[in-house]
Amino acid sequence: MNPMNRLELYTEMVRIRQYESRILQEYHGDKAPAWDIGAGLIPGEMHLSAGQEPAAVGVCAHLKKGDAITAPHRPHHFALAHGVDMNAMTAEIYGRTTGLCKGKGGHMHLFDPENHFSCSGIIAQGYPVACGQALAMKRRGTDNVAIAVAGEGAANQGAFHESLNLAAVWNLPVVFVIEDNDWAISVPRSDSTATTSNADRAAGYGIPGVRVENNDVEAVFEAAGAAVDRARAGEGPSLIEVHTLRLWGHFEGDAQAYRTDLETVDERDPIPRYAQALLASGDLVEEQVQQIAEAADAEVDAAIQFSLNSPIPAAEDALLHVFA
Amino acid sequence: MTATETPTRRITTAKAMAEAIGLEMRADPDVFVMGEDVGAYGGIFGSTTDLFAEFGADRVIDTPISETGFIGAGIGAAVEGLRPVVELMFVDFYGVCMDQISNHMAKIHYESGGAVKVPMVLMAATGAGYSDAAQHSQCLWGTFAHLPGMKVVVPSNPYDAKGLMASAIRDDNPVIFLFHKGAQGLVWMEKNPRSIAHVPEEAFTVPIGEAAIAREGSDVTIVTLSLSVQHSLDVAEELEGEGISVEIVDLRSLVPLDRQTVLDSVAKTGKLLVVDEDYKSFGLTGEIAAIVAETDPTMLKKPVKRLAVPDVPIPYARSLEYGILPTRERIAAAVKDLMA
Amino acid sequence: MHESSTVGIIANPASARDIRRIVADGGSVTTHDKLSRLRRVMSGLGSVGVRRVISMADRGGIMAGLLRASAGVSAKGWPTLEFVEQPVTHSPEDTTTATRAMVEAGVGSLVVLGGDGTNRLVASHSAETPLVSMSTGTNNAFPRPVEATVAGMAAGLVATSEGCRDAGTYRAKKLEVRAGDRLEQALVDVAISEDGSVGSGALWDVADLSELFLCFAEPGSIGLSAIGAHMQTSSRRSKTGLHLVLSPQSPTRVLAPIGPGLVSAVGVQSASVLEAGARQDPRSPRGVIAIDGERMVPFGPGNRPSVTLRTNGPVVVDVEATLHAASSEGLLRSVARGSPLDDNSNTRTKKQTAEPWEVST
Repeated sequence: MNPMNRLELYTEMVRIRQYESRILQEYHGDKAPAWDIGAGLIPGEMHLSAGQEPAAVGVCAHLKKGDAITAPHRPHHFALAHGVDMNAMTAEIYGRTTGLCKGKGGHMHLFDPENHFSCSGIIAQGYPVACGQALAMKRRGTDNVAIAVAGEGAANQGAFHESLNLAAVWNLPVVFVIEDNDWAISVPRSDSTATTSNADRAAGYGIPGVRVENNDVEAVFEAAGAAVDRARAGEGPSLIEVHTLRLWGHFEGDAQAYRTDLETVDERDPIPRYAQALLASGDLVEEQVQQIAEAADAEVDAAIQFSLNSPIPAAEDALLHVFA
Repeated sequence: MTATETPTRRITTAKAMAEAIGLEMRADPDVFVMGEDVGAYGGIFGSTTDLFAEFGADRVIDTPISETGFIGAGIGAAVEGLRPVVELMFVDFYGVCMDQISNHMAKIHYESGGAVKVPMVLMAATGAGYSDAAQHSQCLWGTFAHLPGMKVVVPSNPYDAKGLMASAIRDDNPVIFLFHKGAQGLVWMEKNPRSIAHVPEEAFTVPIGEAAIAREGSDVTIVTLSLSVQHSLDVAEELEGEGISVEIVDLRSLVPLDRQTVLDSVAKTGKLLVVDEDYKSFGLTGEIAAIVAETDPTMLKKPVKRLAVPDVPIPYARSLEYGILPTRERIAAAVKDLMA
Repeated sequence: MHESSTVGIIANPASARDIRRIVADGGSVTTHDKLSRLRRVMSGLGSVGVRRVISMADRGGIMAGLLRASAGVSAKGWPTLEFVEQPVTHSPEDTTTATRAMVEAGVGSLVVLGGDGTNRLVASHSAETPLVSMSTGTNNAFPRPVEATVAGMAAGLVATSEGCRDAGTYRAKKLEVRAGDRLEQALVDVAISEDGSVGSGALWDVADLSELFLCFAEPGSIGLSAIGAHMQTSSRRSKTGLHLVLSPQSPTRVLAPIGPGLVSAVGVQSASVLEAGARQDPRSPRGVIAIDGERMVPFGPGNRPSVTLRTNGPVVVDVEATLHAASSEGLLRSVARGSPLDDNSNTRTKKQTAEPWEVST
């Protein structure tokens, strides 16, 4: 891997983390003193992706124009890594007319047709849609790929299994990405899943299945690169399960009393660990650490300002867009 | 109509649907079909007859029995700009794939603030009358019409089936196309002769959202759809001999619903019977009655009558099944009640 | 029969899932396949008189499945199943903790399901306990192909019979790697790659390799050791290893199966015998050290590595040799009195004594 790649992977992870950290701050900022999930400038459920940056960054580093992603309810990292405009995405989270969806979608339902990016808040249900996108790419003879992202909890849904089978039987250019963050809200994977790895399940459909341990961005980068190349070459689907980390709660406001691994969470944070590795290898120098963080902060700050300055949709606009 | 055609070109509703799909496929390479047994079999209820032979397995795709998977794949293909025609074999199977239908197909355009279109047709067989019992006999169009974001098209005859299918495929919205098995003109099922009728050979459209006056009359309005239109026409012919003039409004689609045609007819006759093979409560019959009540209840000379499946699952034994369906006899009796 | 009829089991729940499923034709060994192999091992162990098994715990379903199975009707004659009391961390530590505990408990042998990597971890703490290594990894040189039932029988025979242990085991070699304050060991190969990234670990591209140190080089193997085998063979039972300097420009090229479905032509500049105890200093100034095919230790001028071959590796069970020993000792043969094969009697009577493989309690 060349030094440029490494620096890019690091920079993108920091950019996403900075984004999630600021959203976290803004989200909670005006919900005090009595915490009300529906109050504030960013209302509603909020599922932040801190800790899971390696999956998004390692995968999206291989994508090009026309490649599609279906993301789940925790979508920000994949959206940003895939090039979704930060201003429009943030404005959507703030429910403004300038948002990706003019304030109709919110943070779990981000749609960016320009980048072929979409989310679904229903577990595993983005998988079949990604298969259809891959089917369209294949029918049109492009070498584009569709990336279907979901968590390990999603792999117990029928939609997951139907999709793997469809993709295999139709040899679709799709890469299934499972972000195994160990927790399906409060249920650990060992209580929900009859196999140690969803790579096993891929094998059941004749699809190559890989598990990437340690939440390692370079390992994801390599595995995803191989899977994407394979799909582009017409060799069919692959599955990559990334053992990642949910650094924060399932949603903001989740006290995580059920969680038995909280003590070690901070030491497993992939970003400081990667920074240390790059500093040690000389791919990153101290001054850059600060510069990268500041650049990310400035970008996020501008996106938040853009959102705050954007109009709030008129109530009657709720009646628009049911049909084309 | 071209000179080579004659009004004697009579085809079944099933064939008319397949013809429309075939014409659209010839005209637009982005149109393709997928579903269970749509290929060599031609669709269990004939909706894809002969398409496989012409277009091959690339464009007429047999799917695994995997409705969530392939309906979701239809959505994915549609958001990428293709125009899939997807068949759900029986509408009753909606339970295994309703998330894709309701939460995805129907909502993506709205959720995206209009940024993403889902130009997809989801067709499914509906209806009872041949002892297929509770899980293979429902209509359920009221269920789909209740959930925002899908057009719901319900043809009653071969001509409309062809024209509405063409419109559905060209529509930029998701369209649920519900055809009644008993109106398909299948050789292996009892059928009303109205299921085989003249249909022009060339492509044409019937606009979605316009009800048809299936028969003009002056005494009673029957608002109905699908196979019940055929039954109502039979009844109207019969009652004509008794001096009762029945007007029949064939809704043809529930979403959009042509309220004006309903209101105009009721304004003319002052008597309204709504006939529906779907469940009675919280459904189409109540909706039509409400539209009249909300607009001008004084146009009614008699209280509205509703004839629908009385909120029970569809039973198996013929005696039981026909004990709850809106049969010709029940339609005739209801009309006579209104005339009494 | 030996009184020590306890055997340890270590099954790596994570093996056979790395990137070589995509970049090569690596197969899958699913949780359920691992479980079925363990069930066969249990039958094999029980059949030769092993009464107790201590296993590494996991939370991935292998051991839960084995525990369920051991309570079921199909578990007739199986040893009892116990687990090492240990926190499950889903890390290599699980393996080393379990190994230490089993060695302390005095198990007669250790059955290892995993690849070269799992065996390496076990071997680092197995001391004098013989290992029965079954490959559930991707491409392994250290574990030999072996049927699980037979492996279970061999593990049991080694644990319960001195004769089998003497005839069926040998001491393997290992390569010791030092880099800065890190000390690692390899059971098969140490490779120096000039591309400094660890990436996804598994090594499948030989283009960047500059040097190879091999414990053995057998032509029937798959993996990096096969490169050496076609320069100069070196048996896993010999006292020496092999050292190769690789160079893409070299006129000498070796065709070797590097990974599943991957046969590469590798330029070899030199091949020389690696003597035990002689410290070697790789030439590259920076890069990454791959241990048994796994990129693990990045190095640079600050932690230049050294590699040394040692002859005090783990004690390893040769399954074939063990069963040969059992055969020549007649351990799995019982002749009823009166049978035509009975040398002592030709009278037809019911057998009186226990079968030779039954351990009296």
